[in-house]
Amino acid sequence: MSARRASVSVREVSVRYPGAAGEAGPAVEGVSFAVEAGEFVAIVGPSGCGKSTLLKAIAGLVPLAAGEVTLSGGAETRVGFVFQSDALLPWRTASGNIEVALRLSGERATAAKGRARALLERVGLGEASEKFPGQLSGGMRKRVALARALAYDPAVFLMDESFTALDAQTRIQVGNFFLEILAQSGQTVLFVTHDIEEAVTLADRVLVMSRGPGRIVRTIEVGLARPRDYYASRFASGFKERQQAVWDALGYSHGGGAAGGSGGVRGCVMRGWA
Amino acid sequence: MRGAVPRAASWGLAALLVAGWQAAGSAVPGARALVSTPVLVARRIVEIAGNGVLWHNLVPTLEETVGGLALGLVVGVAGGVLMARSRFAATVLDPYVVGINGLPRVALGPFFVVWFGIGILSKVMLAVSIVFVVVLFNTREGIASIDADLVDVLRSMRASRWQMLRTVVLPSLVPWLLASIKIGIGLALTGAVVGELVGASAGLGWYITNSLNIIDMTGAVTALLVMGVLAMAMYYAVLIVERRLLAWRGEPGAGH
Repeated sequence: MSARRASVSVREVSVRYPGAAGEAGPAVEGVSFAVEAGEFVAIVGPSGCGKSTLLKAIAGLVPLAAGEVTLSGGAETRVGFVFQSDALLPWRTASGNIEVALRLSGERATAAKGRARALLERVGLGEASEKFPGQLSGGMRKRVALARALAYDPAVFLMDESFTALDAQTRIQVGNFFLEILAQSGQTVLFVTHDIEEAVTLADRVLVMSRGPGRIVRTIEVGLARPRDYYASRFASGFKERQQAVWDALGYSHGGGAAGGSGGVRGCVMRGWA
Repeated sequence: MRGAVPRAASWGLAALLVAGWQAAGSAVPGARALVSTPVLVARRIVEIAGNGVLWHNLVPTLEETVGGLALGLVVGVAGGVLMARSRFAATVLDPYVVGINGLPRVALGPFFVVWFGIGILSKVMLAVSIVFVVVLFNTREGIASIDADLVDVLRSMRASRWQMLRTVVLPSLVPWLLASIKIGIGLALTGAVVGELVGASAGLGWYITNSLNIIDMTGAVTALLVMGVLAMAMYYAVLIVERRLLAWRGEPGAGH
């Protein structure tokens, strides 16, 4: 088992679009922030602002053009990447998909079968373990994808619009399920979303990113009590104020459209050092 | 049972065609010398199955076809993977692949017989030359259409190259390979038979040439029919394998 928690430090990271040789600008430029061990940080911003690219760069899936990403557990720190799509192998059963992650985390083949079954039961899908992804609903597939990420035993969850594709009710169910996992094991989370309500509901801190090239323009401390509920926390006192602060950071003011003034997306480049 | 009616109609059509053939062959003057008749062909099959001539000619053609198909798959997959993974290799090899694809490969038959002899090798090589291009194109297309998220999930869990190949790449290619094999059966058989027509001492193609040389239309038609049955048998064998390998798709027709 790897360390349960790790902090993430991102220093002056720039990422270029793949294949672009000088002509196109960078996707992400000079981004710095830190996530403490066990902290839940959300990154919000308009589509195309480089949120997903940044997350992939942190996971080591795309190369950095400049800067440095450090995970406190060292190079061996495990990350659990959860995509917007469920990204399950369609030719493997629910159990088979989880066994892949278990094998990659160093589990023996003989033990993997039983562990996969146990993980599926933990996500309430014990009955579905021998079903193929194509035979499962979207919500069930997402739970299998979460179980797979858990199976790899990550210290950090990197979530890329992970719940966006689900319908509203399923989203609440899966979101709460994810919050339960975190309450039990306390992994660090970096959660990319364009849904501001979701960001405020889940996160301890919200980083607001601007478009082209992506920069962090504001950090909003959420500071709502835990445990949270993916649905009910939206009605907690103080929620609206936090939500409004994020909208403000994106450049929208009360009763009007984009303000575009200082403090907006085009404004100062603030660095979210904790 | 699904599709019992269309299946019965398919057999009915076959019966109708055979009956028409029999009627034409026996009623129209001179037609028997041109197309023979089903009765004569059936008698011939029984005769050559009994005296071993059928197997003596069927086995080499089968070997050439299966050999050409198998080798064509190996060459095609290797070339396709190489060209999909290496931009350099793709740029260097592309014109050659396009050139070979445009070339009527049956024209290579005489060359291959000169180079590789009148035995099985020249036919296998001819079949390979036709089959591998289709496999190569399908492999490239298959690799290009691999779900990038699947690759990223495995990469985020630090899968080795071999684990990536085994877990994502090869399974993704299975539908493309099965499609290649289904097309490749006919192509490999074409290569094998053309090779036999050019120069051989046994095989179904040789049997056709030999029969026509001695004005034995029944023999020639029999060999043609056996080829058709051979191609169909191979195709349906692949379908059975496909049904097992692609069971996860939950395709219709899986249950019967």
